[in-house]
Amino acid sequence: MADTSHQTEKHVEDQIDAYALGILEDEAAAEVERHLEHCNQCQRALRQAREVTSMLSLAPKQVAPPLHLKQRILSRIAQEEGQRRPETRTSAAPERRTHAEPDESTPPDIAIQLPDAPSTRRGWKRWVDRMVSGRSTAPAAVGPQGTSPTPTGEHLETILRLLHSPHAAMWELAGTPEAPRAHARLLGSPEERTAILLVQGLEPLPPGRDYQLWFLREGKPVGSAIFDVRQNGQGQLMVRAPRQLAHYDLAAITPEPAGGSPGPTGPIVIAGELKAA
Amino acid sequence: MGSERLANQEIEDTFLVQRVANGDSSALEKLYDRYGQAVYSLALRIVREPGTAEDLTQEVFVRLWRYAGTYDSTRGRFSGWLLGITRNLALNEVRRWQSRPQKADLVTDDDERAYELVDESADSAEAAWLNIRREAIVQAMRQLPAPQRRAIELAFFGGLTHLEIANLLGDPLGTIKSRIRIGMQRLKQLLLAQGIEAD
Repeated sequence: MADTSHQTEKHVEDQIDAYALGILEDEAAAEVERHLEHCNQCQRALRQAREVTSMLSLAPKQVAPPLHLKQRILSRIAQEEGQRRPETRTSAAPERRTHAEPDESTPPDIAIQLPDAPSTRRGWKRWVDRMVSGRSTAPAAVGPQGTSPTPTGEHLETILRLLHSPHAAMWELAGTPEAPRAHARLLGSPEERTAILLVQGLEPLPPGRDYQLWFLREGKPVGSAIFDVRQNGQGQLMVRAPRQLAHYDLAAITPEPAGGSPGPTGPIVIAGELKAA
Repeated sequence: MGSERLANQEIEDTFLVQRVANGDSSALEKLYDRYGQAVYSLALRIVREPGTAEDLTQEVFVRLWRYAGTYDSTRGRFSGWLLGITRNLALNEVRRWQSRPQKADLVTDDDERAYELVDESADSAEAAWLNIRREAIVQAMRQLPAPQRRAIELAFFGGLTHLEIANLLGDPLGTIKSRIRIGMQRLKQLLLAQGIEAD
């Protein structure tokens, strides 16, 4: 993919816009494609040109489609789905993990609820001190599927390690239009798999539903913690990613059936980038 | 606000497409609510006939239903992918009608009204976000010199090659190539100036 072996070949940047518009004659288009196979510079130029052509698609005066069109499409889909069942869609459902990488095929974690966990790094230190000395008076919250809410020594060690790590980072995750008042913070280190998730402003879910955290790399999600929030919309929990956090570029939360899903099925309520600290 | 909204929108789109690939018709419905108008409007702009635009819009979403699993988010935005399918289907339809669209069909959007910023009844955050992007490209197109804008329109909405545009407008081939290249570069600059990243 490097340019070095083809340095003598002329770049095709002056034809990239026409190529992105799809108006080059066949021979010229083939020449551009041959060059693109090994030229990162022209590939970048093509991405930029395609962004413009994508925007051009929005330029026409917007006209609302007829109201009946949506139902017409959904009816057609239902008809098609009925014809294809059961050999395609139903059998395809268990394959939702096809996007997951091999070492990410384990069932998602059930989150460990951390009672009354604070929302700042300083507050965490005070909280850890209380937990270590056994002076916590927080009532025991019940985690999903009966998970004990009491942090174990391992969890406390993780928190302590994060608090003292020079690489620790606090990532901000924002509520989407599905949950505009929600937001979350993820305290962790890019070099570690474990992190602490602090959630606020989420609606408690009805029985039979849980929130699920997803880590995404290049748009492909892998499931992580499953949890619910308290009546006040808050949740604090320890989560574990299949790989180091630096491996992922995004984190997102969706509501799912109780126990979580192998792939996301609900709308994203919170999401944010995991930029390098 | 733009980049954060954009990132959230793209993540949501990716999740919705995956749900469609898993056979979830409610996700398809949501994507229709989000992009149905943009698909229909682009189809209508190219084929100029509401009934055909309606048929094409249905075909686009049926194809989305069938082939959602082939969408690769690392290769570009979902909206670009979906509208690219729309444009290809619409141009193919036009080519099927006639060997090439007639001049009268293609130049009518030289009229400023083609770029009116009408009230698009943005009743959702997603629609508002699309309107922001549309406003950016409309403003950028308005700032192009008319000959550059016309050449780009004929290429994009007419699907004409350099040579066909040159013959249609009676201008030298080199002039048409320059107009399109310079016009596209100018669009990139104008979009960037409005905070729309072109990469």
